[in-house]
Amino acid sequence: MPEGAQAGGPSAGALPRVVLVDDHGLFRAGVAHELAGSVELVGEAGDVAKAIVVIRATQPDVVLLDVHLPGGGGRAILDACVPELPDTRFLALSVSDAADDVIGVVRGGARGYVTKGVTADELLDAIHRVAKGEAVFSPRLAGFVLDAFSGGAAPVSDELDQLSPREREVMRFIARGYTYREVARELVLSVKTVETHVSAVLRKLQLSNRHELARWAQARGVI
Amino acid sequence: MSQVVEHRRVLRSVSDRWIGGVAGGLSEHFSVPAWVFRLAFVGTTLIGGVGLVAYALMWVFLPLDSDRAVAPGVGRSAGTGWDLTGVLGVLALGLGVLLGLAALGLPIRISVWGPVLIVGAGAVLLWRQSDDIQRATIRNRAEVGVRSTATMSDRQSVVRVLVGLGLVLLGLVAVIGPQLDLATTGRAVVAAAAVLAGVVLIALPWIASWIKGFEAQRYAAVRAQERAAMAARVHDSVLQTLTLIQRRADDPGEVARLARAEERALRSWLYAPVGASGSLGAALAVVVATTEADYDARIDLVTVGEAMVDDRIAALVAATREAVVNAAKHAGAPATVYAEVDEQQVEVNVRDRGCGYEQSSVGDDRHGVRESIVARMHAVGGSATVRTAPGEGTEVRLVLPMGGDQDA
Repeated sequence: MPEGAQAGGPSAGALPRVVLVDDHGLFRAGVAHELAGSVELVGEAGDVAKAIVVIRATQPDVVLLDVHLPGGGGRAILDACVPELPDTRFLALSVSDAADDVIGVVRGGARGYVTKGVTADELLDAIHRVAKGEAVFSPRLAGFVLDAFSGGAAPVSDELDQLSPREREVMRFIARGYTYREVARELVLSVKTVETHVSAVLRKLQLSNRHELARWAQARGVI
Repeated sequence: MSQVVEHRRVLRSVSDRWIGGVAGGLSEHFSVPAWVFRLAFVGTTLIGGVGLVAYALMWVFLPLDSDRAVAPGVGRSAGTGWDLTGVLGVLALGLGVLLGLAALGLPIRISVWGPVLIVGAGAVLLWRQSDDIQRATIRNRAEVGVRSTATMSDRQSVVRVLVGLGLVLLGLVAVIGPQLDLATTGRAVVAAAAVLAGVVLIALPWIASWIKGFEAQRYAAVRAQERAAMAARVHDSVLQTLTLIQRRADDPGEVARLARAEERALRSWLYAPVGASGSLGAALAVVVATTEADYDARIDLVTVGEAMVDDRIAALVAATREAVVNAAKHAGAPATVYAEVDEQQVEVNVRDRGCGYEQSSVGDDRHGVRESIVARMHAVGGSATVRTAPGEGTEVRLVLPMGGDQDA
């Protein structure tokens, strides 16, 4: 699969238009093969500069974004593209599940985070979810959230700095490996409501000033 | 190259130097003509010798501009002829200072100041020699193999060192000489101090460059150590695993198991381990890792909060191991282990999305395993619940209350 962009255009049809950014050609080829037929792969890139060009040219629905990239990392791409492309969603994809990586890209504007160990079905599900503007939390990301927002430390004044009891419950189930549908059934909620809770948590994760988040984000955010 | 504007420190110039290249280096750094700095140094020298001291300090402590490739011939041209300029420069400068002081009406004794000037000239000669040696060394490092052509001729450098030493010693003797009629008790002290001062003066450039070299060496040693650790890791672990994988290429299950185990090991080495040693997180990480290795399975571990392992938590870990092994053996699907510690309780949740089973139809052996989980938890005041149905996967929930009731 050659690098570079194919002709861009307004997103139409059922398949989400996807750009794949990863510095390992082998990995890109593997993902492209797995996703073939399920998404419309409109571009690929192996470094930050090329990725920004391709994303701007194609304006895809979803960018699958590696966290560690030559030339500034996934965070640099987010900083360049998120403000100017509000309709393009970013899904971070990385071998690393270290807290500073995860929190760094999520605070950079990624709508979700999955590790490269996920199955093709899980990845596809995550892409569709992100394309619809929802948030995607892996069990481990949910675990980070619970850890970061666990009481302790300073008394929290800002609504952004704490989870509601319901949000906490939802995060607990996701950390246990439940799907949104299963969470909805457990808590007797609609799937829609669960999605709303997860999106609210994502927003807090991105905007909260809790020092745990700031610390984690700083480790990667300021590259 | 020129696009990369990095913050450089001031370096002494190799190509543009009258004495030590300080003014030339400052001019390059600040993009101001060198004569401005030269004038400033001379001017401030006339004001109580401030410029002279500043110049000497910068000469010793500013590093030589070693990055710049020295064009062939430039090194030569900075040979004997320039030395003379340097020596004469110092003498002229010193004379200027003396005349200036005399003009201010201060008593000037040529018997004291003459020798000082001679010492200064000798020191200049020696320090410049040290510069040239340093430069030659740097150049040799850069282009190994053309060493003999790049080095200055040995005879020339020996002459320079000898002349420099001679001047310094002559000056010192001249300083001490007239003092010999002082009280005999003070004589030895003065002589010793003078010799010591002379030695320090002569050795200063070497001491400075030695300290700088020592720092660079230590830095290089740290880097080499890191590289060695990385190389050992890659060799011992990653290469071994890759070799094993190639040999077992026909056994996908085994390949996956090996890759997974290696990934886990590498990950825990690269990133911080899941928990401090002796913590619940670390204990569960071991449980997950060994189970993954023993049964070709994928198990994710998520921990929230942390607790140190005591007897009760050890029982919880043992019960978790039973549940995880069950999932790995029977589920045929990835499993998630979730542990959460808060003030009231420790909870471990083992969930798989596997085949599940009819709880009433469980055979004796599996019933026994479940009993061992439940019994273990009850023994330490906890509870265990199992939830499963065919096609729904299995979930084992272990809860250990952490109230004030566990004193022992």
